[in-house]
Amino acid sequence: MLFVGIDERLSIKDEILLTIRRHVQNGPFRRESGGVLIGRELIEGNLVVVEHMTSPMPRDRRGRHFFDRRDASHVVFYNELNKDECIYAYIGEWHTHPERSPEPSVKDLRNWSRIRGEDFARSVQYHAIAGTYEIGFWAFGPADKQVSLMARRKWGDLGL
Amino acid sequence: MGLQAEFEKFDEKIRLSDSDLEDLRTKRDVLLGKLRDSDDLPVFKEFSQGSYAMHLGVKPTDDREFDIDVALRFQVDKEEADPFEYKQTIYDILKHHTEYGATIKNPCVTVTYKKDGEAAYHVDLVSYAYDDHLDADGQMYIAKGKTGEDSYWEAADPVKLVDYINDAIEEGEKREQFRRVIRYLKQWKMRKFASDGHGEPPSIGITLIAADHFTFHKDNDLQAVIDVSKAIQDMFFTADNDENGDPVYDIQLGLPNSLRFEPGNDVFEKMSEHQKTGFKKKVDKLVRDLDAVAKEPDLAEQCRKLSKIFGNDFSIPSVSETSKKQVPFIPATSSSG
Ligand SMILES: [Zn+2]
Repeated sequence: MLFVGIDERLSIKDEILLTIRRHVQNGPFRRESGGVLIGRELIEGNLVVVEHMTSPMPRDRRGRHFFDRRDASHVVFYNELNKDECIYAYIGEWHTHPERSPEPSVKDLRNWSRIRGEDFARSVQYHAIAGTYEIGFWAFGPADKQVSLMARRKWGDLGL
Repeated sequence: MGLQAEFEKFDEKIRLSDSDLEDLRTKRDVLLGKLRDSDDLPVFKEFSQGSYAMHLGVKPTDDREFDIDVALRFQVDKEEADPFEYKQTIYDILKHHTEYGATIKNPCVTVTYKKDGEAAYHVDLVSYAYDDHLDADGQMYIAKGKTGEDSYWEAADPVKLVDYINDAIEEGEKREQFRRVIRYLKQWKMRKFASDGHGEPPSIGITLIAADHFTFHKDNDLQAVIDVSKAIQDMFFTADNDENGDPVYDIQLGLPNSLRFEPGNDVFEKMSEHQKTGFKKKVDKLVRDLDAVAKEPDLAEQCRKLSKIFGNDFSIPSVSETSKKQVPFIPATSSSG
């Protein structure tokens, strides 16, 4: 899918969306899932291509209403991608919500704000929350606490 | 480098250049010398026709041969000439010229050469006569047929056809794009159709449709090739339904009315309905695949899709060529709720 972000466009590869969709909390006992979104900024066309991601790892803490990314494997994966040449940027986090149309929780906003403060590479992060019916992408930044919904799509409309 | 530069790089790789044909032209000149020296043939003027003369040649893929088309305009009136006699004479003169010999085909006599033990090139010699050979601008006729019995003279206008294509689009960047687009489509055709039989649509058909429907798109060969592909798609019409009730398609196209070819001609006449339906399906897929390229925002991915359509000569830039360098950063942890 393609959407317009803050002064740039984002292309999310189908494989990324398909992986996230597999983790959707569509059963009463499914726990939250999450990971990071990784992409390349193209030299031409003002485009960010999100084509890598991580998924829940054994040492992450997961419950019906929380996902705490704690396993070091997420960072290891990112560093491995950039081993030869550093062209991959951290784009943001993704996680699931046990609701149809997701909205960021207070905990999410606090988390995103902290990340915005830490990220010295990019001034805006894009975070995804996957509900059972829809997925949303929120931009956080460039100003502190500036959060905006950039795209919201029904799973069925993505042509996956 | 953007997509247009990738298209132009691709064209550089596939287009037939002067040097590719140097060898073949030398061979052609030897053949023509032999024919000229013969007392059994009337005087003729040669003329280069075919895709190379129209600047539309592409290098053959491994399973195909380089070819060159030469028109022999015999300075005779067709009323006084037998349509098979000259072809037979050409054949007799050249049949031992190469190991592969010569073959009489419906529109020409073909002389094949090998390179490293395999057929590598051929020269097609096409015979013409005039209504009145003293009127060089008068009606010409091509000698058709494979035997003395089935041969006949058919009205043709080969010189004007080459001019028609060469002058179809105004000179400069528009004409250059027009020629590139046809070369792309010929490359596509070569890859998607078997070289044997008539399953492959004739290049002149695609070339004429392009000449009539080409629209210039500055620095955008992708859009230009999409437009022509859609124009080809629009030429098909439903002729019938097969036993399963699926549509059977037809496509017909006459040579331009302004030229003096046999009335009622159809450049697709040699294709069966089954082959035309196969052609239609391939064009439908081409249009779908090109539309997907147009929708794809990522250059490297566009090129990957294009290399599936046009082959490996369409190169795919590496991610490091097309991506900005990054300062590595990733938050060590995250807490979502
Ligand atoms: Zn949340």
